[in-house]
Amino acid sequence: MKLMVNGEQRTREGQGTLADLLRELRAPEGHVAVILNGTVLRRDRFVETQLNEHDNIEIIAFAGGG
Amino acid sequence: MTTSRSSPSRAEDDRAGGRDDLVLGGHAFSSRIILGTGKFASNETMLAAIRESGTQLVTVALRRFNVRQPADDLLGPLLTAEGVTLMPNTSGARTAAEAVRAAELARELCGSPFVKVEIHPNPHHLMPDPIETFEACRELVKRGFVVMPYMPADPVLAKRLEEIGCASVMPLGSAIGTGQGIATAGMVSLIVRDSSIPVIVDAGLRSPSEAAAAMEMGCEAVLVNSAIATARDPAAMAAAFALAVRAGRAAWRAGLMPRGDTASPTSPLTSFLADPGS
Repeated sequence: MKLMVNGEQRTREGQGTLADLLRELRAPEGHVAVILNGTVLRRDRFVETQLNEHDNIEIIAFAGGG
Repeated sequence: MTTSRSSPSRAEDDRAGGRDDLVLGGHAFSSRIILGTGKFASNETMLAAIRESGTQLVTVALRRFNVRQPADDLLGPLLTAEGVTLMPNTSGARTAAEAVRAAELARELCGSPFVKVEIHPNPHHLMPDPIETFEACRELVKRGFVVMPYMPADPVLAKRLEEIGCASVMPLGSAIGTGQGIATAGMVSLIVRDSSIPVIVDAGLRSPSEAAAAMEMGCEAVLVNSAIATARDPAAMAAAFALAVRAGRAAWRAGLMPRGDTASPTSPLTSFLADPGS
């Protein structure tokens, strides 16, 4: 299926959850937040959230800032 | 710089059990230096500066997770710093709505109730947008955040932000990253004079003496980033800032002498040295 991840088109084989995608991207567990199709998603919902065709996923982390 | 707001009396100190905590939204801190985490050469340098500054409140920004550098993680190292509370900022937001979304994301990430509201639409001067900042603060207070707005040094806006429930106001000393010191000293003093919530100078500080000056004016804390992160030795500069902030706070509590327009002798001027023959 085609996904939009952080503004870039990505193709992924088969079914899967948001938690699966984060693992594949090697995102540090518990250190990222997600906006799924415009909505801030609670972290405890990553495991149960199925990916769907054309999902728009923004993965956000902390960076240095003043 | 004189203000009519006086330093705390001895009696007030005694009631507080002799402590001199910085209290923000009901959370007490013994350190009065807030450290930004931008511009550090490495996480190790940043952690050393956090340690040497003695800070208990550290700002962080949000950005897209880097898919090409997944190991590039700031939260992990920060969680190893003991006694440190995170204060995410809303940098990158250009409207109140964007700032509220950033704050919610950040709270989801770290669970901290603190948010530094930072809305600066113009990359050239990075001056905070007072209208969007006010609207964002109002909404974030409703949502239960401890709201700390970065703001222009405007006493009217400061009072309005206090009225809607902000935990502090953070007027800028000068433009972010310029190191031009407290160019707004007169306005910051006016804000301190009328404020019932802590005033924190944020942005523009370059040297520890400027941080001390802010504290002597009655500011309750300073927020420092570039001055420490871009120093030749960030950890040593962090230690220097910590000393200056303590000195400035101690001076404020001791009560500065009034400034005079004419000389006032410290030694007797009786002219016993005059030549009796003259």
